[in-house]
Order: sequence, then C-alpha cells, then structure tokens
Amino acid sequence: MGTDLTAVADSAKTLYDLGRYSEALEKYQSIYASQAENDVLCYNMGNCYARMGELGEAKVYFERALIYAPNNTDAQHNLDWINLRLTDALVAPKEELLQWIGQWERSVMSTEGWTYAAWLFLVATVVLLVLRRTKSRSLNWRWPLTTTVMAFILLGMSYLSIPKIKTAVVVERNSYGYSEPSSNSKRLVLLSEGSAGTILGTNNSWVYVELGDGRLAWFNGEEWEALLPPTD
Amino acid sequence: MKKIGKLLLVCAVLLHGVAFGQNATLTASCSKTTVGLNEPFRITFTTNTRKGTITPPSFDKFIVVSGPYQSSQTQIINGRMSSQRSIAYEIVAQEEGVFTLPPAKMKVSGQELESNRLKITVKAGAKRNNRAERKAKESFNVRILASKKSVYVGEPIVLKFRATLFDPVRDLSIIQAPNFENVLQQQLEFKQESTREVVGNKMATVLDFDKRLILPNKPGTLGGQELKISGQVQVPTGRRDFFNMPLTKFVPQVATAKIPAVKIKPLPEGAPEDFQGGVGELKLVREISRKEVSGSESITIKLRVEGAGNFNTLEVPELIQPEGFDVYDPKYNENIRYSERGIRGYKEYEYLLVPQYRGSFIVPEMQWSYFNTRTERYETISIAADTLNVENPALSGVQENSDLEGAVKREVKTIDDDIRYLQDHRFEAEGKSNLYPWTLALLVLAGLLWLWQFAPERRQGQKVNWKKSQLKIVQKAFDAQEEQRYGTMLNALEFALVKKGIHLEQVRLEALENVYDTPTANRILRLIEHCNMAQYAPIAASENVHHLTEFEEVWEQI
Repeated sequence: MGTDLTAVADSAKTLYDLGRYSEALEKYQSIYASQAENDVLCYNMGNCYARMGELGEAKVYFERALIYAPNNTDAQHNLDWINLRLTDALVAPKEELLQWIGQWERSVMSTEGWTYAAWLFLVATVVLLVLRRTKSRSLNWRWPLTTTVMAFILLGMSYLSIPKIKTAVVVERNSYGYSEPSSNSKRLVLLSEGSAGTILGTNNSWVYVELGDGRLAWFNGEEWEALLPPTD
Repeated sequence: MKKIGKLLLVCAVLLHGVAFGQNATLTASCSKTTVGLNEPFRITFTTNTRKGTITPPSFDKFIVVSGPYQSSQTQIINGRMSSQRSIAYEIVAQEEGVFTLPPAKMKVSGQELESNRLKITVKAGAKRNNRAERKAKESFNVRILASKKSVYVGEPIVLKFRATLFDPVRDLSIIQAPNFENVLQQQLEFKQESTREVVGNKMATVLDFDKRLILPNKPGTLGGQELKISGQVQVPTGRRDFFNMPLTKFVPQVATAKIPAVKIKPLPEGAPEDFQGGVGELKLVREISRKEVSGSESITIKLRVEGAGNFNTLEVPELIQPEGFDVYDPKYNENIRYSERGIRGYKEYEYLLVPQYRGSFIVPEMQWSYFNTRTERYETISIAADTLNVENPALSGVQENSDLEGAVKREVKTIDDDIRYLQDHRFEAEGKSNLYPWTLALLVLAGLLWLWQFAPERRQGQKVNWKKSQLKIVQKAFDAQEEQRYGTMLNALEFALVKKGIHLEQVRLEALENVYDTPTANRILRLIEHCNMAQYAPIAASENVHHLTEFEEVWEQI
C-alpha cells in the first residue's frame, strides 16, 4: 500500500515535469486524505497550485507544510516567493505565545517525538519504582519522582506541539467582508487573494474573521481556506 | 341532557339556515361614482356567505392607497341568523375618464360567484362632497426639488422629495415613484428631519422624506414624471365628545408632484482622442511602490481615477507597461460613495511587475482626458515618465544590440527567481498510530506503582522490625551498663527462640540443631549460659563488650 502511494506520487511528479500541473495536483489530491499531515505532500501540492497561478491556494499549502515541518526550507522559500507576488495581501493577526511555543517545539521534534520522549521517562519511572519496592529499599525516592516530573513536562510539550492554528487564507481573487453573515448586509472590507485572518466563528457557509489590523467581518467561507484542514 | 340536546339541535338548524338557506351573493360598491383625480375613495366587496375567499379585480387604472380592510359580522333577528363579510380598498384614479371596474370573484361549494361591475367617472375638477374631505385635501402637499436645472450627460443631479404638512398626517408613503429612463437612480441614505416654517401665512411642518441621486446617461429633458404619496390626515368631524372635546378622524389623502424640468446637455464637440467618457472633477494618479529594486523584489504600480464623477460608467485607463518586467493581470479595487455632493471615490487597477532583467527601464508617459463639469471643458491629465532601476545581481547584464534600452537579456535563468522543485518522499500507507492509549496505560501503571510505594510491608517488614528493635534494646542496655542488661539479652534470645518454636526451658543442643547449624546452636547455648550466670555473679566490663559482639553476630544468624 505504501508502495502504491509512492507510485502515485512518482506519477504526479512525472506529470509535473511535463507541465501538466492540474493532473499532477489531482494525483497528489488522491493521496492527500491519508497523508494530510505530510509536509512533503503539502509542499508538492503548493508547487502545483503555484504553477497553475492559484497563489492563494499555493500559500495555504506552503503554510501547511511549514506547520508540520517548520524547518522545511524549500517550503519557506516558496512561501516567500508567493508572498512577494501577493503584495497587498493582509497578514493574519500575530500568533499567541502558546502557538509560537508549539511551532518552536515542532521545529525541534515532531509531536510523536515528544510523546516517545515522555514514554522513556515513564518507563524509567516504572522500572525505578519496581526496583525500589522489590530489590533495593535504599534507592532514593527522588529518582523516580524526577523521572515522573520529566515525563509530565514532556507530555505537556507534546500536547503544546499539536497544531491549533485558526488562521485561514483568501483563495479567490477578492473576498468582501460584511457586517453580518449575509451578502445583503453592509460591506466593510475588500480583501485580495492571499490575505489571512483568524477564524473566530462560523455561521452556515459564512466565517467570522479577525484581520491583522483588528477589524472583524463576515466572509463567504467558500472564498477562504483554513491552514489546518478540518478533522473528521 | 335533554335540554342540551334540544339546544344543539336548534343551533344546527340555524347554522344550516345560514349556510344553505340563503343564496350566496357577492356585491361590489364604492363610496362615490364620480371622483376627482387623486381623490381617494373606497371600493367594498361584500358577501353573505361564510365560505370562500373574495378575489378582488385588478385595479389597472387606479392605485391602491391602503387596504385591504376586512370585516365580518353575524346577527340574529327574530330567530333568523345572517352573516356578512366584506373586503375594502382605498384607491385613487390615475387619469381622467370613465372606467368600469371588473367584477370580484369568489368560489363557494364549486360554484363561482361574480360581483357586479362598477362604473366610475374620474374628473379632474370634481368637487369634494364634504368639508372633512376638502380640509384633508388642503392638509399637505408634496414638491420635488432638483439641485440643478441644467446638467451635462454624466453629471449628477439630486432630487429632494419634500412634503409640507399643515395638519397632522400619519402613514406617509410613496405609492408611485417617478419612472426615469436612461438614468442611474440611487436612493441616498440620510436622516429625516422636519422643520417648522411659515408657508402662505400658515405654520407648517416641512419634511424631506426622500433624496435621490440621478445620473443621466443620454441627452434630453428630464421632467414630467409624477410622484404620488399617500397619508392619513387628521381632520375634525364637526362633532364633540362627552367632554366637549372636538372629535377627529383620519382621512386618506393623496398628493402628487411632478419633477421640474432639467435639461440634460450633450457633452461638447471636440473631445480628445483619448477621452473615454469620464465626466466630473477627476484625477488620474499613478503610484509606483519602489523605483529602485534589489534582490528578488517586485514592483506594484497602481493606476487610479479618483475624485467626483460618473464612476458608474467611467473606465480606468490601462497601464502602458515598461519593458523588462513580467506584468501580471491587474487587480481591481474600487470605493464609491453616493451622496448629495455626487458620486465620489475611486477606481483602481493594481499591477504587479516582476523584474526579468537588470538595468534601467522607463514607465512611459501617459495621458488621460475627461470632461470637467466645473470648467465645462475637456481637460487632459499627463503623467510624466518614471525610471525603474533593477539592481538584482542574480539577473544577467546588458547586450549592445538588445531591444531594451540599457538592459541586457539574461543568459542563465536563475533558480532563486522561481519556486523550488518538488520534494521526494516515501509515503507510508499506515496512518499515524494513536499514541494516546499507550501513554494513558503507562501513566496509570506509574500511578499504581507510586501508590504501591506507600503500601505497608507486611511479613518481611514485621520481621525486620522486631529483630531491629530487640537488638537496639539490648545495645542500649549494654551501652548504659544497666544492671539487668544480661536479663534483657536473655529475653531477646528467648523471644527469638520462641518464634522458632523453642521454649527456653526446653533449650538443648539437639533442639537447637534442628533449627540452626551446630556452631550457631553452640554459640546460642553459650550465650544463654553467660546470661544466666551474669544474673548471679558480676561480670567484668571487658566481658560485656565480648558478649555484646557475640550476641550481635548470633542475632544476625538467628
């Protein structure tokens, strides 16, 4: 099965080399459902969108690749390249401290890596406690306590490293912001492709977005795409 | 019960009489058959059946001012029940003439009923019948005020709809708005405020209830279109109530006004060649984000028409593109506001230019013409040429025979000017394993082990404890040189032996050898003898140390 996925990715790459970007994208999309958190797949899909001129979508996928692998320098380069061409796009509000910490943690190790590190300390705790009880009563209780505390710290870091980003990006040419979730309400703002904001809530197909300059408006959700794909 | 039964029977008979005992009829009536233009009158359709829905005719030549008003009543006279329902409209005639109002229709039990037709004569100068109606007619009027009497095509006019109220009027509403052709009509948002003024020696309330911006797009004359508004006017009835206060009633009234003539002039002859229809007081602006470019930066050029003018139809000119750049499709922005001052705002194209060559490039001069409504002349805006310098060392240098002035075509395509290539990866089919249950299991296990640490140790713990405590008691007694120290030692030995099932009275070598090895058994026996002897004969201090050491060694083996 793993070979099948790689074969699909290889055929997508061949199509990309031939300049058939939309077909390559379709191939990548066919394996995206099971590999949504794969930074390489997100990166390659971003490339396809960029070649097709859909810079807003490309931005979403390069950002997504960087969420899962902040050290992916190719994704960072291509995102910079996209942003250079989306000069009037509004940037999203600044990240919260916890999000920043989470991103730093992912640049050090994946979420699974942090969990496995916590496991090591938990196993050490178990071993030390069993030894202390059965073999060596003189073993100081501070050792298992230390490993337990370390395990909890690492579990906390593992939890923080799970992406919880609410940012979304305009993927259409323009997106009007309204005072209410209706196109009949007052128009407040006009955003161009690639503009980003933080989704605060939804109402049917409308999303309530906070922009980087602090303004709030309702937008048609079909014109926006969240950086984190919705989970089932 | 019998009485109730009789009562129900009577009711059923009566209702049957109402429903079936009469022939269902539908009649139309009007409050007057000869009316004046814009004089409201009432049309009523009445039926004597409780079933069916009355469908009124279409009032083609009339305007419904208010209604429908529905009423129904049931009465019993001399034991005979009758019922009546009616539906009424207040209408006004739109033109003079004699009109026949088609019948109203109603379907009852599969049978279609039609009302009688009404013949109505409309005369411009028809006199009002009573004093209240005459009073109502004089109670308010409406005017349309135009901001200008003469404009050019594309020049905005503001029309104010002003009502002058001499008496209290309620439910003021437009029943027929002017119908314009070849114009853009935009209703303006404003706050309605009334003022008190003296009009013709009478105090009146003056209210601007609507404002519209009109933007003509063809020459001609604007005017003649009619505005009709209706309202309920409060008029005295001439009667007084119980407290001698005058009684009043609300009478529907319609007022009309015609738009004053406004001449729409064509634009003068001799328009410049680049004139594209811009009318007003406009400006063309070209903004360049940066003129010096280094690295892989791009340039944004905004071309904007701004000011006051016919933004609904005018078009922003296209940018004359400089050589040496990739120019992307422009992005369109606009911000247009409608107000009494006309249409203001801007329309803008935003171009993104990505340098392809190193050198200096010229954004050519451009011109744009429009008709200035203030000076009444065509005016041309010129924007001088700008120079863009590209210093990116990643781009290649100049060739002498290049078509581009001062620029050289690239020989090598640079990588950094493009996105990077695809990445390779071996995709694993298995989805991510869920680590949560395992983590939880480890946490639970560690928690249980921690709890286990605090649980008391039962057998082995007790054994260790009594051995330690007895040893400590003996050591303490010898350290303090207590008189009964050998007795204490003997007690400890007895305690230990009893735990092995050997009582002190039965201590023999054979018995001890059953439990301990022979040297240990001998040492225990010797210690017991020393303890017994010490109770009767004093022992030297040096012997104490020896006996205590002996005891400690034996104690370990016990």
